[in-house]
Amino acid sequence: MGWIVRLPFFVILMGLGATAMIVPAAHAAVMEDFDTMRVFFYGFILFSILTLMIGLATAGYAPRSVARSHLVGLLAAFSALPIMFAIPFYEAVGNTTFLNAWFEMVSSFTTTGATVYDTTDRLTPSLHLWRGLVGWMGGLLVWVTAVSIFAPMNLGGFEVRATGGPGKGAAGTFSQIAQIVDPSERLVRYTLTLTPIYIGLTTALWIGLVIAGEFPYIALIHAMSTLSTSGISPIGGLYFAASRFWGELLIFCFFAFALSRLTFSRGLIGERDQGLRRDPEFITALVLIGSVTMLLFLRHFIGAAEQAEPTSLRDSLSAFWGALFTVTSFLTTTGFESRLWEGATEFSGLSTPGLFLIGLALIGGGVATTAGGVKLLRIYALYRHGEREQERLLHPSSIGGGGRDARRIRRQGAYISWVFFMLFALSIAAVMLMLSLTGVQFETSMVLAVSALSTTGPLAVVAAETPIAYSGIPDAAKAVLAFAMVLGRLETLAIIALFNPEIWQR
Amino acid sequence: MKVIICGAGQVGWQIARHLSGEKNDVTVVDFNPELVRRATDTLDVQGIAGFASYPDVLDRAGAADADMVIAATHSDEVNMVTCQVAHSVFSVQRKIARLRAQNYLDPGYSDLYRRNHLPIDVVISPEREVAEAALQRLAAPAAFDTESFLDGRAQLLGIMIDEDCPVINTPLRQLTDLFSTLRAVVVGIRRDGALFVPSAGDQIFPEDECYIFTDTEDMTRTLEIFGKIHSKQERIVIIGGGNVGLGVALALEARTDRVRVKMIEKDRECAERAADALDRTIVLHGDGLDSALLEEANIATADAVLAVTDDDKTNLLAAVRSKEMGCPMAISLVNDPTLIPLMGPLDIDAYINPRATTVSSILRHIRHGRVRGVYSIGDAEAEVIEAEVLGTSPIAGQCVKDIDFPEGTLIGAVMQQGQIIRPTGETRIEEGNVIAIFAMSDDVAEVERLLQVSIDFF
Repeated sequence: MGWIVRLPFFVILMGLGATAMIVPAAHAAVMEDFDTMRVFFYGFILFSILTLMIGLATAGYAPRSVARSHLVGLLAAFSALPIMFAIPFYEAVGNTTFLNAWFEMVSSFTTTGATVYDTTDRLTPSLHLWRGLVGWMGGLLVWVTAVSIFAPMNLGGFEVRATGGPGKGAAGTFSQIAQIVDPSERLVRYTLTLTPIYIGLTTALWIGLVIAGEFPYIALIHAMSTLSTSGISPIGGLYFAASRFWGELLIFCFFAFALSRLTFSRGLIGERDQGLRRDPEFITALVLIGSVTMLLFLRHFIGAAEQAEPTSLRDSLSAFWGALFTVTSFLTTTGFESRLWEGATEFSGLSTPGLFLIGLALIGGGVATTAGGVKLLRIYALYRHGEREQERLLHPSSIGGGGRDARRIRRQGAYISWVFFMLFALSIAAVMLMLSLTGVQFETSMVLAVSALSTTGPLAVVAAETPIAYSGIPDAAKAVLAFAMVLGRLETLAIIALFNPEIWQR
Repeated sequence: MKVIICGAGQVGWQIARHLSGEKNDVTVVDFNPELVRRATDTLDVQGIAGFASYPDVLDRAGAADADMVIAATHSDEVNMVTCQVAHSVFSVQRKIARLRAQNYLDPGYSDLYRRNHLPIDVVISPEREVAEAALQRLAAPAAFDTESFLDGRAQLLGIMIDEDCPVINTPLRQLTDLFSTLRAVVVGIRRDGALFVPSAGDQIFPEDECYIFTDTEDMTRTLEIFGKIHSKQERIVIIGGGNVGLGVALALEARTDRVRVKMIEKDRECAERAADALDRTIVLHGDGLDSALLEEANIATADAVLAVTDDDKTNLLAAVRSKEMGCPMAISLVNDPTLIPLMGPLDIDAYINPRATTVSSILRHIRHGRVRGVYSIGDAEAEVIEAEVLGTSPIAGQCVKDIDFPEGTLIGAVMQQGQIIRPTGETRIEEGNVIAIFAMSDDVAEVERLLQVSIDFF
């Protein structure tokens, strides 16, 4: 097994991706959809052989900087692997362009979940399963690489708390540390730790949804897209799910894994274990969810009060649940819409405020979870910094308390968060500009840019005044969006870190 | 009694001076031969230069037949090891150590100092004592010196008498008749620099410094009678954020009435440590002598300023500057007793002498009988001793007027069955009572004899 580990990161991922094609093939065989089965099985054979050959060719590959090689591998995985995923998909769908198939796979793999096949009967169940599976693998890849590649390099949100600069890794050398673990070993170790948790959680949710009354195949895809926050659904959203309220409640509970890393990987990277209750990300998430839900609910409530008809308690409660679920779902960048969300609109007679959801998706979930966006920790750092600056208006020479970590978050953490936030804002502007150049309307391009960069695909359907169909946008715009999804998934800082002199200098 | 004092710094030297003055066999051990020489030159003590925790140094100091070891070096760890060596190697009966680090003093770990662990009988923490003293000063802002006795139910107040004091030029006997319900006794008067114990016929004059023993409940009334207004303090500025300042601020934060505290600390790291430990207190980073920073701390509207940095001159100047900028009350920490006469001319309301507080608490554990508290007044001119009267003591069962007290002593308060009473000539001292006696230094030995177990007890 040792030689597999020493292969380039990208080749390993390619091998895993090729192997995964057996799953839709097997599913199609059971469903007696032999065309799809053949396409995926041949895909598996073709790409396995290709991987084997590349693997043989690169077996002696010894990168100068393993960390950099991993980072490049990750970038390649998010941009090139979808091509491989798209080939059998393209063949199996039959009546589509390759660009659409590729866009679909990029969108799935980056856990965005935007789909150009928005008419439900366009794809066969096996193809939906393939979309969900690709999204699920993308989520797992993010989980593992966040702690094994990003954390040691102080990227991906870890730079907020880190002592060293972003892209540099831990500061200082100690004479008693003779050898630092090879990044590949770290990758293997974290993969072995996190994969069972990820599979276990998905299985648990799957079984839960089935018990709640869902069809097993839909339940599996929903479970996979909840865990990976991709929001992929074979039936056009939870609105049509058979499990109804209890299914939503279950999914709601599993959103917690996208809010804070501590929910699944406590103490994994050797930082101080402070518990979930004192985790700034979790608290920030709770405050955000609570306040936005209350705001939306009150807005609906007042809107309902203005109408002459008396409101029943049941209506209010369902409006409240609809707001709570949808807010949490968009904060975690999943993008599931509660089936009571529309009910909330009818209950008050007001339209749903899409801008709220855009803002929530921008904020995003926790660091090193499958969620995208700016990440809660950075928001927390910026909030703390702002609070402290206000104190300093009153007492210019005052010293802030809270401990060394809190102080670092407020100072260096807020600085790097601000840098990231500006990069994110600039990315939105740039993507919007490029989309506008391809002929997309301004408002549409804004919603699309945010949904791509925050990896919340369903945002386009929910947040805009009239639902935006991905199938209706020009091909060039799809390419821009696919690029934006990769950028949003990997985070701009990580790509900039590739140009860090420390990484490319000899 | 044979006592070994490790560390000849300020605290060690002061204890050596007290103990040697009471005919004890004292040996001083210090790493610095210069300090040892200074102690042997000025005091009637023996000196050994060496590392206090080394067994052979303790052996040379005569630990084999010593009754007590007082470890007061600057290092907590040396003090601990010294006590351990004195216990394990030389079986010294009583061991007192000064520990500074707050972590060692955490009540959760107090098991550490049990006999079979780290055998320290008494742990003295100067910073904690000083913080307590500072809080007492804040509680009685009009007094220049305060200390509580009898479980905090009686207070010793040092009051400066002004021209407009209502009770001047009146014999003390008449005052007793005038305020018959007031449980307060004037136990000492310092006039023109000389401290004496007043008799019933003496009068109080302006510029006198009076030491008054009062029931805590009557404190406000006592201060009013002596012409001091008791004002509540809501805004306090602390200059210096070391252990002392931090201790005071923590205690103030723990109070139920909301006190707004601002702290000024020069050292950034120290300030950060204080800011981490404190919740509501605003910690400012900068020089406490800087008027701009004092303004930022809003010194003009503050009720009191507490200067507790480790530098005496900074404390004095910061206190003076604060008063000049409009703060009505200034309390300053002063290590050097020779600076104390400057308090009047500098218009500093009160001072805290950490040495005196530490020495007081160490002395408490040295005295014989059931002595519960000792407070040293001025530059070791007098002491207030709080003691439980034993059944075998010569004063038990006698009326106060019959007891053969030396001239320079006075009973400040008596606690009988949990009640504080003002002693008169007719008061009978019973076994189990707790009494607080004000005694001039020369008479301390005689008072101790009176409190001690008489020989027929054995």
